[in-house]
Amino acid sequence: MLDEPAKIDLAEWDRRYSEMHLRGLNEPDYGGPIGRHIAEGDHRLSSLKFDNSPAALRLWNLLLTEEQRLFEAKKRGKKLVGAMKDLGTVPVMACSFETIVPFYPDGAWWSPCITELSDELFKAADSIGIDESFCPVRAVLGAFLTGDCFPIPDRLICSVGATCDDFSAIAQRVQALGHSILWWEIPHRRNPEPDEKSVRLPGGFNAPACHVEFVKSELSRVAVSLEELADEKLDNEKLSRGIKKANVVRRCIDELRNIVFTARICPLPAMEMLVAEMLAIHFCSDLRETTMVLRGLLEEVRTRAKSKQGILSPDAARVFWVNPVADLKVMNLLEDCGGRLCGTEFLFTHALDIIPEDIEPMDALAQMALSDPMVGSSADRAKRICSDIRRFGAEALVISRIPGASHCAVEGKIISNIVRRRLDIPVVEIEVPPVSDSLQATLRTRIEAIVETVKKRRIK
Amino acid sequence: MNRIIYSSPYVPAEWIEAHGLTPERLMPKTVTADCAVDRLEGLCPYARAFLDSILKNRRARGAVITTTCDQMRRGYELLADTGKRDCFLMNIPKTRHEAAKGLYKNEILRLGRFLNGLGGKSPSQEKLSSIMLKYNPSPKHKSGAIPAAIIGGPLMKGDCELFDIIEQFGGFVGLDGTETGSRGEIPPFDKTRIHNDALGELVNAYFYGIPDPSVRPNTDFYDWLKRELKAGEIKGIILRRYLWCDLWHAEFYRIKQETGLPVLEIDVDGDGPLSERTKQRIIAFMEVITCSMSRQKLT
Repeated sequence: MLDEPAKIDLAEWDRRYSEMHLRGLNEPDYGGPIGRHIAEGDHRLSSLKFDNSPAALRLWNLLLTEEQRLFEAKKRGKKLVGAMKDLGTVPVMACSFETIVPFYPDGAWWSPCITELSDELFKAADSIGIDESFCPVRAVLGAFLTGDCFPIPDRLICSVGATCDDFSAIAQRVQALGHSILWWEIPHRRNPEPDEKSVRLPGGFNAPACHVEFVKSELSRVAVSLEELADEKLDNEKLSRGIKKANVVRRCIDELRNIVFTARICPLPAMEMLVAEMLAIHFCSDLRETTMVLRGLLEEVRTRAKSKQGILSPDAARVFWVNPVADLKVMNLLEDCGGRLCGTEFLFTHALDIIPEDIEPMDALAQMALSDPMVGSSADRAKRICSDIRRFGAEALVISRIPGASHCAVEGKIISNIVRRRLDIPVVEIEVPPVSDSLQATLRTRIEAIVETVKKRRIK
Repeated sequence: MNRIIYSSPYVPAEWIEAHGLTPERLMPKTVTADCAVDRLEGLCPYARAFLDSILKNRRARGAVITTTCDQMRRGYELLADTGKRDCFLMNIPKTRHEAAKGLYKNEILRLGRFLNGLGGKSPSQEKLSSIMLKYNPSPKHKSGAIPAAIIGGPLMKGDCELFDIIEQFGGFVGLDGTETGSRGEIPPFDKTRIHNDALGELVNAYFYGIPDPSVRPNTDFYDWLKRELKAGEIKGIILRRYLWCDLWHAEFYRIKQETGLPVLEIDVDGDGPLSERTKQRIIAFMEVITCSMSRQKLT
């Protein structure tokens, strides 16, 4: 049996799974061969290539069983909270309650990719006027209409203010369908004025202290709502415990990124790294399992890095990637073209940074919410990207546009100008739709071009 | 050179004037080949035209841009990057409660400091009051044969063409619910409150008085819309939006459902006059409303 690190397709994985199972593979109760998810409609899996480790198997099974987990949680009497848009703050609060399970309805944006549009979520959204001119997150509206992707949550909590228009408009349409939403405001993050009291946020941005106070008051409203739902109080001690648990996840991901992005030979593929990072947002509706999965991945990459084993050539071009891809297959494509992921900014670096544990917990969460790269300027975002490019030693930047996303119109130009000016590395901007098959040739050409540029620059 | 350019109705002209500067609510022209802002895929044509106008406006001392939509919020960065104009990004909260109003008030005060930096002077209560007392809202409703409504974001110079077509084909604009029309006007100030706390009344009027679909939730916008449609006896609605405008495009279906009226959605690319295709659609729409009214009269 193949035990050296490798990327394998689904058929190979199912064969490998049978062999591992015979050898006594230790799995959680949601385990099983990845291929079984095809029967549930996840057709895209048959076009993807996966890491061949048991840790990766567990990661994929955690991700692909979330829907089932949510329906079961609802049956068991847990209260479901749909945390929309804020990508990482409200779930930390929600996880502080034993009786609440938070999840991220926005995650439905990947469903059209995974099901290769057979879920008909876009069709459902189209039927009420939300067409392809909107970001693929319109699948969320389709999910609420069909009721298929996740159980309708007991509470919906959505951040608004310095957020993208398409998501805000789609969330408003969700409310118009009859689902009550608690909206909380996040102001545009700006630099403090000279005589204004300032706060240095985790992640390195600055914000006026009055904004931190305001967001703290907004999160207090969210806390009251969660308390009503759970019928229990959320005191500082409870919230601090929730923060500590979230930080365990964040520390795992931080170390994972550090090892994977800086190792001489890439020890874990880009697609698995993308999924692993996404776990930070809402812990895939199971914080305990998320922690176990990430520890498993960490153990695997530590072993591979120590024994100088990996899944790609040592001369793969080191690429920093901005924005998540609507089609996971493009993460495979990057590697097929001779590149490797060496740094990411998937719109939620604030969900990866460690939440301060030495200040009042609500203050800490307010600071984290304001650290959201999307809440401030693209120039701020670019500065953080530059810092991380240096940290991970990336040699090129790919900015992946999300079709229809309002922030993508202008940010690419600003980010690429700043990165080129400061770091003098090649930059390419591509657009990735939810099913990119018809664009594969174009995307391949552009990614290959940047890989070639990187390799030629090395010779010089 | 004491003009302060802006376009959003959430920027109080009275506040700018009270600081001794001249507010100029800019209505940009459609862009030409020498636009100072690159055409970027996904960039709203209005935002592009507005930024272009700011950069080319030699009379302006400064500009105020708001965060009412993501396009303008991010468009501000393109402007700030040039360094050619003193500009201020004003955060407009999307929620409507007292703490958010406090945030808006702080922005008004911060705008005041920006204006002071451009040669303005913080006004006294009396000065602000006297300027606010001069405010006279324009009449909201006209009357005529077939009243139609135009709703949407801000208009550009040359958009009177839309109004002309409607009038040419038997209708008139009974409700201008665009951002540059009556929707963007605050209700009359409360004179008593002005005397007690002019700034407080200014903040209150602007924060709560402008119905906008970007507010969350946007129930107030729909309450306003239904009220105005009824008052104006409107027979059809033209939703005029810019290409790439998600906030308005997302509301088209709901506007149809909530109002029960015929609704025509037209998207505008800001590149010049209305296309022939769009004009024909408007004409056909006016014919539909006219026929519908005739049928109603017969029955």
